[in-house]
Amino acid sequence: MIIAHIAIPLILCKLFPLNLLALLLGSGAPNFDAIPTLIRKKTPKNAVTEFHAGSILHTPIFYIVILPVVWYFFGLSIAISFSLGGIIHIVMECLDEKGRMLLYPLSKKFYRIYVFPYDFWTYLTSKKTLALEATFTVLSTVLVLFK
Amino acid sequence: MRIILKKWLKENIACFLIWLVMGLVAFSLVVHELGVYTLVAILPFFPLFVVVLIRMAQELRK
Repeated sequence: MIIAHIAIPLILCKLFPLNLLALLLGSGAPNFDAIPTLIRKKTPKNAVTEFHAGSILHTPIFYIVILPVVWYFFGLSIAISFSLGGIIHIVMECLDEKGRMLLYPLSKKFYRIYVFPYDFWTYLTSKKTLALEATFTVLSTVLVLFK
Repeated sequence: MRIILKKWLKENIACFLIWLVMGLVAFSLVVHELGVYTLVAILPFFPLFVVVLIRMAQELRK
């Protein structure tokens, strides 16, 4: 998911009383584990085995544990929005080839419903990907402009 | 996967344009909704974005 990580928070914000800024920050937070991959010296032969999406930032437990901390500092609405943004990011990405560690720390298994490719360049040209991302973009546009 | 960017763009210009339009629409919607706070939403991810671009350029040159 690329654009959907922005479009889904916009949709949720229009349907439920959530904080958009916190949703967007929560939705973007899991991708900070891409940094080790980006600064690596060698490209992994198999993109699925890279560090991105394999760290605690891409596990729901992280956003459940962090919820009371954010609640203490910023209030309940922002805390729920931030955690929801992160968890929805992870759940949506379970649709790719790699899957995500949904039950970490109980299990390190990557759960997936394989619909989309994981490799970046293949992802960009996949018709299924474009259809889903475009659907979310159109939905968010309609809701923002008319609701 | 080895990618030659110019060739890839020629072959997939429609995909590129769709992604570009979707990106601009999403960005416009966020600006519409958040106004100046868009900067707060973007700033944490800006260094990551720069690293991505640099890294991608290096990968493509190999």
